[in-house]
Amino acid sequence: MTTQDKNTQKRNSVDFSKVAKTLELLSRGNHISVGDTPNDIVSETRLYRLLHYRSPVKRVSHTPILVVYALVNRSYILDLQQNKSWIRHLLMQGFDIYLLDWKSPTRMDKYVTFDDYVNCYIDDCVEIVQNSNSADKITLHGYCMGSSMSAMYTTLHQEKIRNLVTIAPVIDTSKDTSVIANISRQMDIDKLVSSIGNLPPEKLYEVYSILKPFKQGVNKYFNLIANIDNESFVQNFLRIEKWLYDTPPIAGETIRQWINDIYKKNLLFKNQFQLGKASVDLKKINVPLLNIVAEEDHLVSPECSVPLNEAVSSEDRRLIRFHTGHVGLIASSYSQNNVLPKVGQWLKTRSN
Amino acid sequence: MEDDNKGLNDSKKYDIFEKWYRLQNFPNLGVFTAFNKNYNEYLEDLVSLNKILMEFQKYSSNYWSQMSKAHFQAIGNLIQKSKSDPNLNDTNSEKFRLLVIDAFEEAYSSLFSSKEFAIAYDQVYSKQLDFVNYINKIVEKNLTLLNIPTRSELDEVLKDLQEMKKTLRIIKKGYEKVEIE
Repeated sequence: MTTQDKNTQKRNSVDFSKVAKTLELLSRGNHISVGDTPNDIVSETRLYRLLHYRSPVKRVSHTPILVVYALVNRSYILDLQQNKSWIRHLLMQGFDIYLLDWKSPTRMDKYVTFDDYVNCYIDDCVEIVQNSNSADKITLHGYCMGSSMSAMYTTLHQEKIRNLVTIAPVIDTSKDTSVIANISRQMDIDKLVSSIGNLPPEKLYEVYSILKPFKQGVNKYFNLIANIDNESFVQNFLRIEKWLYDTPPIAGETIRQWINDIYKKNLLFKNQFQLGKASVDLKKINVPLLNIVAEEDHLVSPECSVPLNEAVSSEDRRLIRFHTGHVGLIASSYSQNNVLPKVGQWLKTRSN
Repeated sequence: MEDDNKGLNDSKKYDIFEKWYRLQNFPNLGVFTAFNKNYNEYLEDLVSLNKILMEFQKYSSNYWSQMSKAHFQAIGNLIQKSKSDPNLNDTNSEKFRLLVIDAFEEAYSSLFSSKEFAIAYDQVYSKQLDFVNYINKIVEKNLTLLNIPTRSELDEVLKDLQEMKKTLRIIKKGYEKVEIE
């Protein structure tokens, strides 16, 4: 056997042992812990849990923050692991944090609409946070779809809101160039809702799988094999992977409004979106606004989120762009070092 | 959109179903009503299901044809790029792997961002839903015969329940407000 053959044999044997280790890991990796920051459940109903995080430091802010998560995937992405936790970082900066954690709608909840989510569930939680803190106003802080819902809420209940902080909000969908927007514009959601009821998670997995099919879908497993002996890399991979494939169904009537009114007709940006009998008019928002967008967001195009700053009437409004992606914006070392310090700084001057 | 099977076009296929339906459709007037009513309805459902499957096959062919084109596009990109760099001959190299990923990503991302793909994707899914709807329809018919509430009846109840919950919340809020005052 030549030296070259021996080298090739050695390299292949190492690779196969890594592949075997990777396969073993993937078959038992789902038990990884997430969302570990200590918290108390303040309120719980069929469709949500309101969590209050225990503060490890003395609070410096008098305005509590209610974080509104999206209706897709799970809210623990905001508290993925200790050194990449959005929630923990804000707690360490002295803020009082509440999280609105949506639960899975069942077939019984097919007729739950955005009106219920915004005017009932978010409103109930805002009141609980107000009463628990004897605060007349709170900071409403949304992520992705939760940002759009926070903006909707602020237009109708502004008297309860001191600041609005949005991360990657879905606003002007006519400018959204993402694959999700492309698929949504052609989707016959009426037929889906009348046939199945709620949007099944499998449908979301299908759409996720075509977002970056090879760079993320395939390449990430090669990277995992190459880094299988790097404990920190593996733990991070498992947590993100668990989150990606952990999504609840979405209530039928809610997803019908989301696709038809927001993605197809762009009614939210046109100020014609209906929540029950009320019209959502973004121009009515005049509280301080911080809008954070990711330049490399492939789920919600930055061009779709940026117009929120022009749509509102707030004199105090700020847009910050970061060179990262949709998830990198909230659950990465980049976010801890670059995004959160700026968010904290902005909030501190407006929370007393 | 034409099917790949040129020998039997869509209208001919539909024609076969119609003829089959007419041939099997028994009289259901007068004394025949009780004997044949349900049979004819089930027959109609069966023919409709076959039509849906036929349309599904047509849309599915279009979907896979777009996917195949993207695949060939990716291979074409890969050949072009690897020709331009002689260092890429070693197919085990990391560089070659990244080149493959890039070539496929480029071709498929371009496909998934296109309106044509979104339409084809919706057409395939829509036909699957039509199939599910027909099955539901048949199940509902059977449930009615068994005197069990159907899905559409339960949907009505759920809709009313949701409205009642909302009304109850408004009443509760109003009551709390009065109590505070």
